[in-house]
Amino acid sequence: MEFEDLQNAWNQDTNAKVQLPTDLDKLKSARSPLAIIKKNLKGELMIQFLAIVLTGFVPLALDLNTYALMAYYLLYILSILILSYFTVRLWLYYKSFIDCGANTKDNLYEIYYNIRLFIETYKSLTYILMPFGIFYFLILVFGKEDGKTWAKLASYSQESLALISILGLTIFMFVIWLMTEAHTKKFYGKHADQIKQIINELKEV
Amino acid sequence: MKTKEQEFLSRLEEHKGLLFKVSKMYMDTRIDQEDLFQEITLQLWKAYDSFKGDSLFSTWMYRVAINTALVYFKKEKNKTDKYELTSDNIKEDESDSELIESQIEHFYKAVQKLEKIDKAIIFYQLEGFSHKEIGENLGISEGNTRVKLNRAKEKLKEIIKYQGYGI
Repeated sequence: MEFEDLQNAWNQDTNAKVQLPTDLDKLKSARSPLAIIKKNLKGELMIQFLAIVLTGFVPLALDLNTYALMAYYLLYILSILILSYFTVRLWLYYKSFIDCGANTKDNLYEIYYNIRLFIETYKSLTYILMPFGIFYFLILVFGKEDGKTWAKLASYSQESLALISILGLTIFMFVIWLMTEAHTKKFYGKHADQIKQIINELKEV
Repeated sequence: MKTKEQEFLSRLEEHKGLLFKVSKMYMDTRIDQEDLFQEITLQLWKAYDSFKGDSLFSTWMYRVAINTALVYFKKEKNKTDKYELTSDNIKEDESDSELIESQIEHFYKAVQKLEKIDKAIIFYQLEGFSHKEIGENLGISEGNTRVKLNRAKEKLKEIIKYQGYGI
């Protein structure tokens, strides 16, 4: 079979019976990279929203002193502000217009860099919130009205306390870093890699 | 008065077969092909406002269709979905000639094995685009297009041969 035969067969393959959708507004994008990211992000924003609401109720279950309560809610307000800022940025990101009518190379690069930008924004949010997690923990542990935690601490030597703090902090930061990298790679990074692979196919030979 | 949607659909109507050809080149199961066809229609509709008429509607449509197909991800393989080119869906659309049917069947099976960009190049070639036009659509040079096209044709030939269809 020569290419001319294929051309002939191609020309005769009309698919005339194919039906176009009748209601375009009902069509839903399912497996384009941005549609997948949008779906993942929606789920994550819901979880974030629930988490931040629940965080506001945590002190009610604990007997915190007045200073700890003030510090907690100050931190809480800051967390909400930061989360809102990043949520708006992430929301605007996937709402951004992508012109599919551009040539393939430009189109692929635009999608690729948008996904990369999205991933970096997402990571920034996580790393910015990391110290907040530490402060929340410290307030909840050491801010109790009964002061028992402080009394317990007094029984340890300063060297032991320093060692436990450094070790705990290092493990916490490592786990967060690992989870963030694995999470972004699984949910977002693989799409960027797939698109990069297609971009590489376009390179000069 | 025609609404924008009606106008769009009537313009698309004459090219719908072509859009399905793109779907058949990029996806190997009936469900995936139909999903991609729907995705292309949706992307065309979403981008319709950006079509200023600087180029032919069909040229713009090819571009959007190929750009959509290139970044469309397959569903996990499901044996019950496996597309058979002898299914009723295709039979009724194809030519009466068994030879043509057999050629087109082998063509789609072979072309599905090519890299994504190679599929696009073959598609444009079959639609009668010049090297220059293919290059413009893909955003690569004419020389690069020529080399890639020759390689894609060679690969296609090899695959068809390997499938046992004489060349």
